[in-house]
Amino acid sequence: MWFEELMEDCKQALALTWKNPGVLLPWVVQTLLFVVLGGVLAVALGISVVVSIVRSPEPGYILQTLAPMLLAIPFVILAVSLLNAFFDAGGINLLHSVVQGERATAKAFWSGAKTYFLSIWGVRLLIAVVMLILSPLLLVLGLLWSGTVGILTGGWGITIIGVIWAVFFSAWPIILIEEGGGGLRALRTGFRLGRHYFWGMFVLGLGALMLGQHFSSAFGVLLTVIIGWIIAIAVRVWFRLTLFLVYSRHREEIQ
Amino acid sequence: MMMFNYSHQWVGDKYGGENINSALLIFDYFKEAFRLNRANKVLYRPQLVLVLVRVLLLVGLGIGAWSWMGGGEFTNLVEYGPQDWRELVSLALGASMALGGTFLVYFLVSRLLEAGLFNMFKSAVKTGKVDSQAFWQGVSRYWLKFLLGDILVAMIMLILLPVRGLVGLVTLSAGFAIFGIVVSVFLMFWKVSLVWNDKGIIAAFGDSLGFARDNFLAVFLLFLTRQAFISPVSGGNFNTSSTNFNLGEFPNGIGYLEGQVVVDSLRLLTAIMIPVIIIIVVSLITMIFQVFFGLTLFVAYKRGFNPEEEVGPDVV
Repeated sequence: MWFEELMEDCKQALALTWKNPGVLLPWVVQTLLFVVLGGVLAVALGISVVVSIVRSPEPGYILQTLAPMLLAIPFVILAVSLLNAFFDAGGINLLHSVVQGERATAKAFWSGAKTYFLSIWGVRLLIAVVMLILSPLLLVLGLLWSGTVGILTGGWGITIIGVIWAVFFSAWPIILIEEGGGGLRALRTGFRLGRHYFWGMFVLGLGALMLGQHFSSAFGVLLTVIIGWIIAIAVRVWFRLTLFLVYSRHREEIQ
Repeated sequence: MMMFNYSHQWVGDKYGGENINSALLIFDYFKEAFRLNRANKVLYRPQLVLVLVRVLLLVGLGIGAWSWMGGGEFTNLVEYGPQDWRELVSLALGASMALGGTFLVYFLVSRLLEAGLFNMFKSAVKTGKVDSQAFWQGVSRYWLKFLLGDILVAMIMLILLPVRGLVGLVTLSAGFAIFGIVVSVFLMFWKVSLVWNDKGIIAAFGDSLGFARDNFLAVFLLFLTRQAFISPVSGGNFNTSSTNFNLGEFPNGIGYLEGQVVVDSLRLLTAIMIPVIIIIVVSLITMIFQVFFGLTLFVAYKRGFNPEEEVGPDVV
């Protein structure tokens, strides 16, 4: 039965996460890097504002000084997407080696980052472009959905949208690394996995979402800031390891 | 009686296997709870009644508030303010009586249904199916104990509140949350123990404490997982403010036009219906998780998080 299979995979994934805490490292480094870069950008922005105020307190002058910074926004988004793809490619390959019974090594991380970085970034770019094209329609539908189903279900309707997205679009990076084929093929296979194993993926996606939210914020504001993000990473790693096991189990049926 | 296969890869001692292996059993207990859940849809009946009670109380409060706001007393209060302190006291007393009475009714009914439901859980976990008499047997045996136990827990939490506040202050708020979690973890199984062993309240508290102490990591993870799904702020970040009546929207009787009666009735209907629908939908979703995790607690208590008892563990 699908639920029993899913629980078996969840259990194995938790055992693997526990035995290999090193698999959390790529995303811990990634988060710290973002915190440092974000901090540097915020300080740079603050200094620019202060300097321009000291030079001339005219609002027009301040805006003129800050305007070039707005041009930097696309570059920041690009840099963040590239870093995300890099760490995900290496990190998921690390998970792949752990699922294969190997040790989590730096070599596995670098090998994955080199091999799959472009494919992962490319597929994400494609998804972002499609979403951008569809954004007016998605915005209208989203507002309608949130204003009706979202409100009447006390927010569950909005959560469900996120879970359904996870059902169809969360497995493709795992499939890409497991199969080693192209990104688009992985995207299609991930979609097929979602269709074939809908309820299993739904429960897994819902569980990961709810646990990630609750585990990281259950211990009060201070601990949320200090360790909440590490717990959120651990839940995400567990979720991805489970996806590896789920895909391995259903691989033959959806090919 | 259903049999379950617990064979899986266990974590060896060098990885701290003992604790995590106990926690891994949670997934096996989920399997068992899921099967029992599917096989015994009757377990949803008490929860459905509770949803109905919630709705009736909410509608009752709404209609009561509407009637009062449409009356002359409210109009005078808004237009001229309170006449003296006695009017204010009487107003506060009336509101407290209405809210307190509603809460009391809900507390009594919910504990009654919970006592019956827990005995149904026990019956399902012990025999694989729910005995037809289980609900009323549970009500007659455990209702009073659940009531007294819950009042005792509330009193303990109230007495410990200064200590909790102090711990929170010293630890920059972290201890406040952890204190609450730890107390809840240690008390999570008291109702299960009370029903399963047919014990008294104090013995059940002691048993719950011992059970959580012996299996802390597993019980702690189970507690957090359960909370993630059934706490009031889980799911769609359910915000109680969205379910409250927006009192500002209510017609208050000032400048009330005859022709607006129909429009206002529709507004009243909408004002009551939207929160009612939200309460029903959210309660139904939460109900699924409550029944599932209720069964899981009983399965966990019965099995005892003991990996050594499982046949042929494959240690890695």
